[in-house]
Amino acid sequence: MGKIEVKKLEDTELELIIHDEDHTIGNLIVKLAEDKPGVTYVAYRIEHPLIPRLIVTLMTDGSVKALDVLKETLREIRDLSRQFREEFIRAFSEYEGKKA
Amino acid sequence: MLGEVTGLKIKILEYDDRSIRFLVENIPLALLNAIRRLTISDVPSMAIDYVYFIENSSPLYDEIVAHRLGLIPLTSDRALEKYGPPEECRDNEERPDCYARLYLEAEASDGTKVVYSGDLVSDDEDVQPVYKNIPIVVLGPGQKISFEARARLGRGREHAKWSPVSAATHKYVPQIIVNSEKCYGESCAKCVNVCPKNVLKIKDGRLVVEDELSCSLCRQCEKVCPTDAILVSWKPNSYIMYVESTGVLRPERIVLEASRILEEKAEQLLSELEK
Repeated sequence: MGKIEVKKLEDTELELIIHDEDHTIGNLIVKLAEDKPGVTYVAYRIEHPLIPRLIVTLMTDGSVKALDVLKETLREIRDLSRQFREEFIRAFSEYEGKKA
Repeated sequence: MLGEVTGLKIKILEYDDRSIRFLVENIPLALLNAIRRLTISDVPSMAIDYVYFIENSSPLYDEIVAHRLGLIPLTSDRALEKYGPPEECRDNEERPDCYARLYLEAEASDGTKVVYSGDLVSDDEDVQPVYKNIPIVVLGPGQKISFEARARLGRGREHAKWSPVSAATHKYVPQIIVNSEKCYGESCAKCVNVCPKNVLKIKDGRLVVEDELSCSLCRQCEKVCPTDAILVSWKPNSYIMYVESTGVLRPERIVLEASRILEEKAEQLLSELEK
């Protein structure tokens, strides 16, 4: 799951292949990364629907490193999903508590 | 184009054994959509994957029966902890913690007999058909069927039979604003009749929004209003999510597993990048 192959790695440009991932994580990375300061271009593509691999391209204006932006985005995804789960557990126990 | 979103808040709106509807405030749409997609394709559940036929004189070929068996939902709440992960168990029948066994033996002596999912005998009480009344095959007089089926954990991305949800959706939170100065109230009431979800009501001669959340944002009320007194819009960064389980897992469990899987995915990609 999620093996990464680096195709291009420069300070301002990054292109990598993520194996066994699809739109689920591709769209999420792109939508969260495109608002980060310094990012000039970020996109993902899936070359063929039957080949389970995802290609992410990210370019910056030079004020930040492309790899650092991607790492920051992934950290944000991790923290947000943890926050979502904790909040969901809280909301659910509150709902159950009200019912009882 | 998401902007900064902080202060995530969730409120459960409806909940029962099979489904959950909840309001999520201050969340990026892409994140909620990823969780929704994960409930469909990545949350594991049990389903029959192999069938060994001992006898089958029914009118259906072995593979047709096997396909039908695969689609029977099996209870998986406790199986999630007990059985090995899908990636390690696929085609790995030697591993002892991978497969649950279900047996069935049936014969129609005279007259026809319908074989139901409830006739399956499982060797694990935690892995049982969710519904006992799913027909598998109709046996004619003298026909017999006997097999051993093996169920394992799998993911919806491999085959839809492992998908734990029958529906997973999200929608915008509707906001309906009525300009009472422009509205004719009881004498018009065109919007009340045109609304397919019965969101609007006339109370004491005035138009009121009664059930805002069930609005489907179709904007028929806006269209029909002669004075543009009604405005349908939605709240930014707030969504209503609905998850309907097939019965294999509890609905809240599906959402929790999906968010846990997303966290793990991000963590795993991060560690992959550190290399």
